[in-house]
Amino acid sequence: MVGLVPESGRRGFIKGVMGAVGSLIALGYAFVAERFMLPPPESAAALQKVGKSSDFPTNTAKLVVYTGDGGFPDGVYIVRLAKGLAAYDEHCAHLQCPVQWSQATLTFNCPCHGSVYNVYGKNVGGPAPHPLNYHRIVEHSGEVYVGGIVAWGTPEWTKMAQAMGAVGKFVPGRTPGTVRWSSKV
Amino acid sequence: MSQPREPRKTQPDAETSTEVLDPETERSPVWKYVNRRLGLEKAGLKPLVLEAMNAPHPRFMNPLDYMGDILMFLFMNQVITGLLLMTHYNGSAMGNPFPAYQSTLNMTHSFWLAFVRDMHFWGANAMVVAVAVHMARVFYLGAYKPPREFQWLSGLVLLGCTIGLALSGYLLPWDQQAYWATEVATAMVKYVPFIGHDLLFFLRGCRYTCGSTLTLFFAMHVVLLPLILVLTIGVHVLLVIIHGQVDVEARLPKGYKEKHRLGQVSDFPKGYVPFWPDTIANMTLYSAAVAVILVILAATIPAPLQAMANYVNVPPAVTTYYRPLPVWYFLNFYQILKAAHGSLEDHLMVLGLPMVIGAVLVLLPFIDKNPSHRAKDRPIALTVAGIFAFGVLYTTYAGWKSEQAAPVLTKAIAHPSYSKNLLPIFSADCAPCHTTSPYLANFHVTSYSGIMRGGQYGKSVVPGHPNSSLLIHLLEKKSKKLPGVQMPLGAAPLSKAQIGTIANWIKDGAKNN
Ligand code: FES
Repeated sequence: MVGLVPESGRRGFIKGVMGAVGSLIALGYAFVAERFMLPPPESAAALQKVGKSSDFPTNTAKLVVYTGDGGFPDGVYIVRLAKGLAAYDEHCAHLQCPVQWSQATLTFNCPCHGSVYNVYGKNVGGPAPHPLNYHRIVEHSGEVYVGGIVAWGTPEWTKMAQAMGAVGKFVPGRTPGTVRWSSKV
Repeated sequence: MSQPREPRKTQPDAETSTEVLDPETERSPVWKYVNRRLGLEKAGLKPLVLEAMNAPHPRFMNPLDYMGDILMFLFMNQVITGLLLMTHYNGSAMGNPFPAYQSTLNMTHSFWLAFVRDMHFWGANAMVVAVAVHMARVFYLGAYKPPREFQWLSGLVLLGCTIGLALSGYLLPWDQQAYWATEVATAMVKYVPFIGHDLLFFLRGCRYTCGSTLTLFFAMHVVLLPLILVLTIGVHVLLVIIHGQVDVEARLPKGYKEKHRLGQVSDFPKGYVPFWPDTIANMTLYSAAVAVILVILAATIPAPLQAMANYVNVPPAVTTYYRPLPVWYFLNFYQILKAAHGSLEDHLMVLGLPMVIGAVLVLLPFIDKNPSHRAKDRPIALTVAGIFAFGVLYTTYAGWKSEQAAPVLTKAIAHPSYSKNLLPIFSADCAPCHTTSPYLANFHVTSYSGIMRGGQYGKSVVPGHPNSSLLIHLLEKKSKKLPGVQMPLGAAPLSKAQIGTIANWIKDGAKNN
């Protein structure tokens, strides 16, 4: 090489190679970091038995503990709606305090800043910006299984919301069977 | 044995510096040793050091001007007590009981361990107060104006570190308060546009606060943040030495600095003393006073430790939920958040407000073009800051007030007053849901007009007739409109005496008295 290309060209070439190799290394690390940081799809976490079908009567919400794949316990409310069982993550959609079920009003109330969710987990009062997260839930031969979290905003969440009829405008103060929903989303 | 001095041709003020060499410093063996090893003279730093040490300071200064020094002392207190705590703390959230909680609990069982923990706790609280006072004082003096912009900016880094340390340290005991306060505080990260959710996951290492969060926060608390803090303190203090203190400079006679760059004590104007040792002696005295206060607080009021963290927040044998509350210096923000209603207002509060405050703080030295340091030349800046300070104090007070338990009544008051007897009950037991923003049932409980107006279910009070007032029905679980409902929901019912007091007030005509 030496002598074949003028000195200045050789310098330029070396600089170019240096830049290319350096960028390649940086990109490689960035790629690995991105793959590493990407959380696994949570909704795919293993199903867990949380009780019998008869443990969850209509018109009430029950708190069960679901331990996800990370071995970390999470509170899940199970509600029997007209269209079957629904499971809501207990963490408020505002700043993630644990919401509390109130049987008298059939609402989930947040003790922190006063958010209120109806029996469909939809935010109806307070600062909460969106409905509660769901969990996968399966009822099979008299047993109830809860699965990983289904976060609000994901397509799966929307599908679940539609399936349970939790879309539309909520008229508060009614029991789940008689809740009136406007057809508009 | 004097060292041969290097010829300093590059020093423009070489002449001045030879003229004012301080013979006393020159002779000191410490100076000789340090100067030779660090090469202060070679590096041209000797005048700087001498100038700082010999700088004339007023004999009596405003105590608020010592806040920076007090902060330095408090930080040292945190380092010393923190290192001690580390020897007894086991920051793990694996197993039952959690070692993080158990090791903290064990500290409360021995006098000296508890004392050190209490010193750390009170030191941390004192630091928050001192930082606030220091900032207010610096603002009042206009000490962020050119050429001191970087002092202000490095101060903001220190502020950030202090808040970060307070937040991360709060989690370490791993009790209910620690766990849920961290859950709420970190959850704000998810409001960052686009990457918020991923960022929150990164910060916690889990979707919700978990063992990884504890490990991460421990690392931040004992390594990352103290490191940044120490380095930034270096820059901050160096800049103060280089630029001097605003009010000290301002009070010196005009042209004094130029004439006596490395002043001799004998040249000082009247009432002035050298920084070393006089001002440093004052600093030591102030630090000692603060130390005494810390010791008294630590010896009398122990740092709180609640029940062990419960992620699901339903203690097995207990039916009442734990209600998370913020630490006192976030009561202001807490109170503001409670007033937000719906997504837009909420985003304005959680995302908008901190961003605006942050932006104003960072840009302050560049926005405020008014060169004057004197209070009476800066009406706009001081008014705005005054309103802001009032807002912070007021919301803190309101947040605190909203959490005070109602006074215990043994028997119904015959002729109660709305403001004296009823409001405390409403504020304590009803306001968490029916507060400033009409949350539940569109019912606003903390104002007279709100009570009288009623809510979604109609009028709540029929003056003169407690037995036909919805308010009383709901408190006594007798409402036909809402069968089976007893207020306050999910909490213990009000006592007979409290309900009786409210009924008597209605009987008297429900007056705004
Ligand atoms: S966390 Fe539920 S209202 Fe704020």
